[in-house]
Amino acid sequence: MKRTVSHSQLYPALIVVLILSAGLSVTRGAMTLPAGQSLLAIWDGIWGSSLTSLKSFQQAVVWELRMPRTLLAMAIGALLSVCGAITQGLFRNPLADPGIIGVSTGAGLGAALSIVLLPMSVAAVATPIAAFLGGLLTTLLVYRLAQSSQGTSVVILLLAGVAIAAFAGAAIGFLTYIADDQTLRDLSLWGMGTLNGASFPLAGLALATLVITLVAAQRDAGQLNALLIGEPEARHTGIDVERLKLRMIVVAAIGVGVSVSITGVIGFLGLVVPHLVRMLVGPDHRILLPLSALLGAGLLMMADVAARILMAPAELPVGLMTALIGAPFFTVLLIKQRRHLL
Amino acid sequence: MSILTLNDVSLHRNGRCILDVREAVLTQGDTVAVLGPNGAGKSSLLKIISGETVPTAGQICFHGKPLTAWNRLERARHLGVLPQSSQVGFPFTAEEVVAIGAIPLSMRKRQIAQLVRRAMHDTDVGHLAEQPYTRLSGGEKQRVQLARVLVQLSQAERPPLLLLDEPTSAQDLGHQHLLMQTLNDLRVHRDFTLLAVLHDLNLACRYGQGVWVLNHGHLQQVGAADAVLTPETVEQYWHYRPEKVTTRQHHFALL
Repeated sequence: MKRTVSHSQLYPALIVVLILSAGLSVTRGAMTLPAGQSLLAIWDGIWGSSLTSLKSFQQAVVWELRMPRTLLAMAIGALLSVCGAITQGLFRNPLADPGIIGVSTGAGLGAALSIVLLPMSVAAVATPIAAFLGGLLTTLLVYRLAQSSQGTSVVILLLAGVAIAAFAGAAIGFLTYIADDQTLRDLSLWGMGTLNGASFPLAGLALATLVITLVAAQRDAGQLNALLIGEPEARHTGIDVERLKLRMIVVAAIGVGVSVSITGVIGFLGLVVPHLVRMLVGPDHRILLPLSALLGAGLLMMADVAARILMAPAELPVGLMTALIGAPFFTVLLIKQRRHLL
Repeated sequence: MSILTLNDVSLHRNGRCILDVREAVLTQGDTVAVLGPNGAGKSSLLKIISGETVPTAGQICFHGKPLTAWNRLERARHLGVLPQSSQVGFPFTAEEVVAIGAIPLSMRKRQIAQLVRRAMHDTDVGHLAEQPYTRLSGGEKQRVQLARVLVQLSQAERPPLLLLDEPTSAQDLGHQHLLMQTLNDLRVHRDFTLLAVLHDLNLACRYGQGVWVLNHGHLQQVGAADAVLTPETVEQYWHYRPEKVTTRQHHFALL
């Protein structure tokens, strides 16, 4: 595999993609509004001016619905992609996406428990924490199961994902029986992965988590590289491998936990995005992590635009869109890895 | 002068004694071959010295200081390990693999790049810098790994120690000698001390200043290769009686 572009070329390209998809995301949707006026409405929203000629309900659509949703899509897309890159590095396997190995489902179960069992007022705060704990426990479990002296077992990694998904699915199913009507609707929508509930506070939470996750991972990027050439080798290079792994597991669990608690499980982004970036610029985490964040943010915003306009005025869950693209991609990866599986 | 000393080092696993070395001293500037039949504890010994396995009991001193008292990064700058074979699942270029050796160093980016180039030149893989590591042959991979370890040891303030686990097992005859020659140059010109697990007794005879013979976890014989590796000793531990011949260049070989 020859590298086709250098990362200094890819940065500006992805920033352009990011800006374009953000522009699309705030100007397109079920309601057709003139693009220029929509952008002016955002300007007004930020600076308190009144330049736009949109009617006030149209302004509300742009500023109160599309703007937080765009920010949320941006943050969650970046977050999931960075977490995907981290878990793939940690497990030294390109198939180790948080969704596939069961981390997202574990986080989902944690969040569902909190949504159903806790009173509404507490749940707002408790759900992200419960999702983080669910994700953390699952990651630790999968890690212990898949790791042996011969390295990471791909088969066990994937089977662990299946087992955890089955268990969490049953548990969430049980929760839906005891849930009341309102909770049930929340649960079922959220289960498919949706950016529906976007608000400025949630987008803020996601962006803050993104910054923390990205900074923490970026600091260890060089050490993650060493981990890829082998755990003993990394240890001989002077790296405290056990602590590095623990740090990365916690960081990934925070990222996945927070995003799952806000949007439900949006699959495959963490698998596809780092893989694409790696194909273009190679596996060096120091450039892989920020570039994955950029591409992931752009892709999820575009997937969300598609989800909003394909069946307008109805809305598809964005998780459906990512799965539609991601699942075939995953299959191709699986075929490529077949010789390691058998 | 000794660079490494082991005192009453033992390793037990599941109630079984895998290694029990009363005393061993490695002289600075030597190449010492660790020999022994399969399951003698050679790899375990190397893992204990590299700090990867913690011994059940005993003390290991490196440059006079207990191994556990060394700062992690400082130790990495003085003690390197060349792995037997290294699987890299992601398509790093050879150059990127070598640059990973710079992790324990404190250096500027430019200096590191220079260092990487020089190390790759020294191990004759300079032309492979841009190639994906995964596509290299076994011998090329090994030389890339050696370049990585050279980078890692390039800021050593005291003579470094390089541990090698069957460094020649994946190589053809020519590359075996090329690698051993390169290692010998490091010993002569850069003050390296080498401790290598070897299977080939003749390589040990040819390049080693000393040999350690392990059997059932015990250090049985220590000394110069030609003194230790008599047909009798070889038969005792390997259950095969070789013929010892001396070549015209006054090397000896076991057939």
